[in-house]
Amino acid sequence: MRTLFKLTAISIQRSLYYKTSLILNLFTPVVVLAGQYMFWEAMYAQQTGLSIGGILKEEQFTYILLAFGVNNILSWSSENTLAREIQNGTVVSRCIRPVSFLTQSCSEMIGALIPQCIVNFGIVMAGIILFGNHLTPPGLHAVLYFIPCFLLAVLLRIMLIHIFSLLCFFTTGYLGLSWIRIALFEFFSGAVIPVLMFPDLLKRITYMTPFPYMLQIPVGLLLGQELPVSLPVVYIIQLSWLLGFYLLHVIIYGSIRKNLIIAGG
Amino acid sequence: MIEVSNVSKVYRRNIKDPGLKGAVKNLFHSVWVEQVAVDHASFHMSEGQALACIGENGAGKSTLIKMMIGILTPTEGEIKVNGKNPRLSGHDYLRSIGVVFGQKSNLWTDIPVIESYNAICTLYKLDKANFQRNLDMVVELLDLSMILATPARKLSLGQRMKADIGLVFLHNPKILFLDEPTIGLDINVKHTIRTFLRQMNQEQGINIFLTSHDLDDIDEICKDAIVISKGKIIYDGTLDHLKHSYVKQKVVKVIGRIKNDVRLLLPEASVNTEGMTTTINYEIEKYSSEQIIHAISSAFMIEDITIQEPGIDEVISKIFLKESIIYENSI
Repeated sequence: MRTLFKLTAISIQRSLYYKTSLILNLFTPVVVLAGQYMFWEAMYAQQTGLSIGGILKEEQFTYILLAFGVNNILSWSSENTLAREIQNGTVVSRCIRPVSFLTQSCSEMIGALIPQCIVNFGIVMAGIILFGNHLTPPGLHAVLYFIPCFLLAVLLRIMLIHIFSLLCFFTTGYLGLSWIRIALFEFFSGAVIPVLMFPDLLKRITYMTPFPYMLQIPVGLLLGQELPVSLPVVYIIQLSWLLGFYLLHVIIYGSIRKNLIIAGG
Repeated sequence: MIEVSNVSKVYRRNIKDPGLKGAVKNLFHSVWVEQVAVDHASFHMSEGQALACIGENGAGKSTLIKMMIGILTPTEGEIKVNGKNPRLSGHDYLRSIGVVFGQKSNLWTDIPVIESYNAICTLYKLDKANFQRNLDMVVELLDLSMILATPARKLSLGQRMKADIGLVFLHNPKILFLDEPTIGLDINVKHTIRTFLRQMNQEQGINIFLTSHDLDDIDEICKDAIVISKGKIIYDGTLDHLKHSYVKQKVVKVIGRIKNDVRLLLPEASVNTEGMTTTINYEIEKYSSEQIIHAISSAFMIEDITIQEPGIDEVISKIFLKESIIYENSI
């Protein structure tokens, strides 16, 4: 655990080192949030009724704000960092440290997400203060149920990014891998459109993937939305997907170690 | 301590025809060839030994190191370090070795050097007092005090290399693998690093496996060497023996007044006289040392005499020249 904390602290230090880059990375996603807000504002303005897909405007705006807070905590820099290390051969440093590859990868991501989480919390709070009369703030019980679900969702997200990062060992096209992951996540997690608005068949397929358990479910839980399964089952499914991702890591990393080529001398 | 038995490493390489046509063709039909990086290499390294690995670019030196530290899997053969396979020994093995790749830093580039050093204390689960003792030692011997607070990214190549070498000694490694540790460094930094490494080998008994294109590194740090050419080990023995088996000439420089013509005493040697200095170049197969000494003492009123040993650069150059002729004849 001390190793994980130390590497996480180093990762935070590294992300705080470049001030301009840090500020840009932390705050530019707010533009996306503003875009989403305006899009749904326009959608509701066109609507004759009060709701779209059974979701009221206030609920939708709260969802957008909270989904932004949960979605935006991890960027795509993990694939980028690892791909760069593979291409110039410096990945060898990771391999000779007496720390598992998974621990190094996870601590790096945790280190990067902590400053982003703090900023996102501030943005969400600012949103609630500024637009409080349009939003439906969650109750205390919902917050208590949300916290473990959110932590598991973050771990799931870290594992997803880690698995895609490992795939960089098999191709130089890390941008393609990043885009595939982002596209899958953004659509199936409910980051762009809430899963509740999906047609029934697509909704059923979506709940069979791990993506809604990384965003839609925790946010829905906070908003008191109806869950596809009971709360204990949600936690069990999240843990099962975590185990699945871990097994995938073992298989992929085993194959990488067997056929590893280090670029350069 | 380290036993490398019949180890080979074969890479698969995609061969593409030149030009746009070749690039398009490769999309539909890829041709793969096998490239042998290390070819049935066998050698032994004993406790406390400093062993040099000499070879041209692309000879397989780095691949050999990566297999010995357990990163790469040999295609064939076996490597044992203290009776265990490094590939399967896990973190305990990694804690017992230090690795320096001259062209790749092990430091975290965006944080001060001291922070990287402190991280080593946690990652290697070191005792605080022991770590502090090692830290003080490397800071003093490698003169690192001025750069500890600087992020590695902002260091010069020489400073970064010293910091990298300091890093591997913090956890008391038993074996050190150094892959071109002085590449691109100025003479002062090279001297500091060589002195430090020699001291660590001789005083603390740390095993050193060193590859370098700078043959002075090898001469100063190691007594034994293996020579690798096109993946094959073509020599395994002492550096002295290596020098004497490949270089058949010696040069004697005599300062003193001439009594007799030395050419008459050594008719097959090449003799060149400039003022009081005479240089005698002879083949060791033609004259024994005794004959040379006798001839010189008869021919000169000796004021000073020096015998030049063959330089390691010259030895290696001769080896690779010979090897490339053999290789070209075989294909």
